[in-house]
Amino acid sequence: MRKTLDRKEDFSVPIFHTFPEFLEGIARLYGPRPALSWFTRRKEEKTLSYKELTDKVSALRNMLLEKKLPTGSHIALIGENTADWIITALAVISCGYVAVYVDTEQSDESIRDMVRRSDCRLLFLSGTFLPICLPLLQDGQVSGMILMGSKTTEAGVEMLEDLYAAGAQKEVSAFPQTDPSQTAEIVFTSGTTSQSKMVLLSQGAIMQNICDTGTYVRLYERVFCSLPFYHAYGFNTAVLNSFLRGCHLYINGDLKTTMRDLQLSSPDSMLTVPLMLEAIHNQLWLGVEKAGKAESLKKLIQAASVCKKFHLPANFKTFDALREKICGSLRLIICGGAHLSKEIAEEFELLGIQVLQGYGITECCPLISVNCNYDNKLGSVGRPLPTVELRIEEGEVWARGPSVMQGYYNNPEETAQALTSDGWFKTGDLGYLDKDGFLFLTGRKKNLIVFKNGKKVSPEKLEELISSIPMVKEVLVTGTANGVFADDVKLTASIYPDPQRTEGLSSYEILEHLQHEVDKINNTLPTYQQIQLVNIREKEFNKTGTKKIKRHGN
Amino acid sequence: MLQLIQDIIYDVTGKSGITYETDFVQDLALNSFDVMNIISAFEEHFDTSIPTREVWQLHQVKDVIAYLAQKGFTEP
Repeated sequence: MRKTLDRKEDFSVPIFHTFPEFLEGIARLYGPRPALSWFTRRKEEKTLSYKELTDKVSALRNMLLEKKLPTGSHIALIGENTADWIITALAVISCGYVAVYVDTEQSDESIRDMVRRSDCRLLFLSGTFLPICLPLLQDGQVSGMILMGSKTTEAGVEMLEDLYAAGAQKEVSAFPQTDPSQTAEIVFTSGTTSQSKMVLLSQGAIMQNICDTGTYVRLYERVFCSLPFYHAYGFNTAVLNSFLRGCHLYINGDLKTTMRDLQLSSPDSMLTVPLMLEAIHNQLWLGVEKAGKAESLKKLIQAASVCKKFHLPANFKTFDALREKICGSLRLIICGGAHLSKEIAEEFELLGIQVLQGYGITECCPLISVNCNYDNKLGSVGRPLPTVELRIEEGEVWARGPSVMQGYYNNPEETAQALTSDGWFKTGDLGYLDKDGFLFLTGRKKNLIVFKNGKKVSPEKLEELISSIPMVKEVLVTGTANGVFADDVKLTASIYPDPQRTEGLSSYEILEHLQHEVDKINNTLPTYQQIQLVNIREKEFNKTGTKKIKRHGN
Repeated sequence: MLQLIQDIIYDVTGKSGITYETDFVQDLALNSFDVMNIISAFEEHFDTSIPTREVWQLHQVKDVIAYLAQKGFTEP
């Protein structure tokens, strides 16, 4: 049987308070080890050691400091997941400036709007975003641009490669005086209804959060991350945490090559979101079905579940072979960002791959709670991090501690609504703590459907039930106005059926089958929670940057 | 070119019966991840790179053919 971590001694991590401390620390502790790898389009592996990585950060810092920008200047990063993106973020923050992470999945105008609203005067951007952002330079709305990863002859645009080369020729400059309370990042929240908010995160808050995370989660040696870096989950939780532990991080930022790079990098640990985990799960079952072994595997899983229930050993060789074939050396998956089906997590566990679910929100750097390698309760999002205080206020999760944001940039009204005077952040998520201190999420406050009789239901709860129908690929439950009174609603389930399971079936046959299955679920629910209308969608739902289904605009 | 695209889509998704008007999402019911995997196969075949933001505009088979023609790729 493979070694699993079950001793708390394995979880000690170095503690840092600022980014300069962090950079000095990882260079000193892990210098020659591989820090970061990625694959080119031709599948060549490129690698930077910790020393090479931190040397590049120093070279860029030399050049940035020569620009003599005031401390706290805002500098935007607009680009795909690359080593340059990481190096730039680390250099900007360790100079005492604020790195502004622009969500690159937005429209061209939204990207320009994010730059304007965040008051950035200097931009680092990849070739894709140069034509989109050039008007800002030409209009004088920004004063400089630095191109990452390609070349240009555009006036006023410098090239990052030139800055690396020039900076490396200079004496390494000392880190500017940095305080943990200095703002390090501005991260845009992926709001689904209104304009995105700009979350201010301090150096100390981020460092506290990653050190806390490290004491709960032990990543192994090779870590794979395809989460976008412009989200706190991607950069803070995945990238910085991996460096904190001296891991070898493989990065990918393009859905086109995610599965390819996942296989090429053969990681033992992976940080991801449910959508990706479900895609891997689907691949696994498609492979099994093609091999004509679906029925026997289902029986084996049932048998293993029973064994597990009675604490009997359930390490069947078939599972080992299947895991090796489909998932290589993968043995740990950290999953967050959205709700993950407990059944999928259980199947991975039976295959010998541990799934640790966590919960975070950008305003908390982001992690609030996570399961531990040695103490994992499936279905929960783990225990609160060591320095995070949790309280459940009328069903809503409130968090307090050093990782909570400084506020929303240029938005005192929203800040006052989100933070109480004594420092509690209202997450807007609903949940409860069980007797062992594990947090369970049940829905989001703003999505609560309120009925005329005063009863409430969270659509996520119903969506989880409906998602268990094999033919359902995606589902969104909404409360639809009944037309009589404003608060008289009926529950509607809009379902995007799994195309692979509905091949050859007419829309009518699909609807009939789904209605039958939903009726069975309804039989187990109180009347007011029963689904009254089933709609079929022909297209998958629109999703936010973190692959959550958008509740509005679908 | 249509034959080539049919072959690629079949290899990646197992779907057949592709025409010029076939819509990846509406007709083949593919999700964004499936579409990206198909585009990735095109990239490999033509030894080119199709930027992700341009993929957003390729809804139908004929869009892909027009895009590749514009880039100077034609199947002998």
